[in-house]
Formats: sequence, C-alpha cells, structure tokens
Amino acid sequence: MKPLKIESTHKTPKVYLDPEEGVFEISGRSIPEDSVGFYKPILEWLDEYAQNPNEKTEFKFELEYFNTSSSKNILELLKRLEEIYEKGHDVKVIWYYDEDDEDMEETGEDYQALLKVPVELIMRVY
Amino acid sequence: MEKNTTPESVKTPKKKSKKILPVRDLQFTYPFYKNMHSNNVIFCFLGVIDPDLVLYILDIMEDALEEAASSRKLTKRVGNVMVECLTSLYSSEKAQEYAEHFKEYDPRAIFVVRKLTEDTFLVSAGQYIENSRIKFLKKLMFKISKLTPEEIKEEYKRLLTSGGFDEQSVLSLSVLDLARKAHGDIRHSFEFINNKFSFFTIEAKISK
Repeated sequence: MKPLKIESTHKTPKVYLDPEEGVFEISGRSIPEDSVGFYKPILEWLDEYAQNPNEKTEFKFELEYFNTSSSKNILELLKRLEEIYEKGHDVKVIWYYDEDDEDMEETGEDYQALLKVPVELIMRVY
Repeated sequence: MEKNTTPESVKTPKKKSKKILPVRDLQFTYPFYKNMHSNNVIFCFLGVIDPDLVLYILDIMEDALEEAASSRKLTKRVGNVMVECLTSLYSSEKAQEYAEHFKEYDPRAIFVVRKLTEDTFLVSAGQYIENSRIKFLKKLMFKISKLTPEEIKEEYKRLLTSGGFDEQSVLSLSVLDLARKAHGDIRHSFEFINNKFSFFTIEAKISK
C-alpha cells in the first residue's frame, strides 16, 4: 500500500502514514475552513488500510492548535482505527499535548472516554 | 499692553501649521486610546478574517499575552478560544458570499481581548450575521446558559459523536467548545441592523 504524505501548511497538519515504515503521524495545526475536504483523503486511505492492516498500528497525534470541525474529523479517523482494533489487531493511539495546553489534554481525555481503542496521553514538557 | 507686544518669531510657525491635520481629526485618536487603555484592551483586530490571517493574528496575540498573562496555560487557552472564534464560529467564506450578494453587508469582524484581572481575560468576537440564523443561535445560547460546566462537557461529547457535519451541528459544537473553555461563562448579544442582518457578539471569560 502506498504511503500517504501531506506536507504541513499554516492551517493544516503534516500527515505521514506509511505501513511499511510503521509510521502513522499527524502533527501541527489543524484549522482548515474545509476540514471535511482536508480529512477526506486521509479517511479514504484508512479505509483501504483497514482491509489489510499491520499487526501493530501506533498512531501518533501531535497537534498544536485545532478547531472543532477538525475534532469531528479526527473522531471519524479514530473510529476507523477502532474498527481495526475491534477486528483483533494491536492498535494504539498516542495523543501528545503540551504541558501548558489543558484544552488539548481534555480533548485527549474525551477521545479516551468515547472510544474503545486505547488512547495514551503523553505530556510534552519543555 | 502685553497683547500688542507679541514678538514676530511667535507668529512665524502659523505658516507651517497648515501641514498639520486639523485638530478635529486628531481628536479621535486620544479618546480611542484612552478608551482602550481604561478597558485594558491588550489586543484588537478589525477586518476580514482571511484564514491565512488567523495564524498571523495568533502570533501577534500570543506575544501580547506573553507579557499580559500570568501563566503559559492562560495564554494557550486564550489562543485556543481565538482559533475557535476565527475559524469555526465565524465563517470568512460565508462573509465574503454575503458581501458579494448584499451591498450593505460588511464582511469585517471584530476580535478583542481584554485583561480583566491578573488571571482573567475577556475574549469578544463580533460579526454581521443573517437574521435567519438568530432564532437558532438564541435557542442554542439559552440551552447552554442552563447547563453547568460539567453538563456542557457532556453535551459537547454527545454532539461530537452524534452531530453531523452540517452548518448548525458544527456551529453548536463550536459554541459549546467556547463555553467549555470558559467554564460556562459566555455571553452574547444581537444588535438589529436591518431586515436582513444583525450584529452578533459573543464573549467568553477565560480564567486560570
């Protein structure tokens, strides 16, 4: 399966999904006006990945800022990972947050509460 | 006697004064400055909120907050509220669309951050909106005003999972997000402008 690489912009995060390398990362700012349009290819890529996933998937989120429309799309993305998890694969989500960013921490806790797939929260200390 | 003895040198600058703005024009700036100063305005923006502009505004505002806020956590939270206001709550796309269709529509929005105390900031945002959206917004604001901070968090999670991607669902989620970050302390107002538009203002009080 081809990796999905999207470079970051001022408004959109860097996306790097590569099953061969075992890398699944989204990082940066996610505040696009059209978040549905931005996340659509990522969700489509995950739908394809779900057909034949790696035995282990560790998906990292390292977001600086994001808006609510992005949070809905991120939830959709996490639901895709949950489906893979429920089929018996080893899937873990790692949600990084800055030590000063209580909102990002709270969002990670929300996803933890809403999903069955394990979501690990890791605080970045500077 | 003294009145008639004004030296010539004192009169000379009068010729140069033609280049200086009339006093009536200058009278705007100082009261405006005093008003902003006395209301502890630390950041103010008026203009069309282009998505590309949001991050530049954020950078400038973060610098202003670094000096004004007592902690990085507070700076970050005000920044998060700003991002939400400027990217979800107000749609620059919609504002431009209205501006193209209605000559009287002004697409500019206002965004103001005031420091109320050492640990409290008031974030305000305002923009013209279509009157047809008022009923929905009033209902939403009324509903949120009846919720405790814990209930707001639960309602946010409920809508995050069950709401769709339509405009009203995203707007509801956005306002709930502001309410959540402000621990329920949000206010709003509508200023009737004409039969098409009103000015909608929302304020969120952010504390440590």
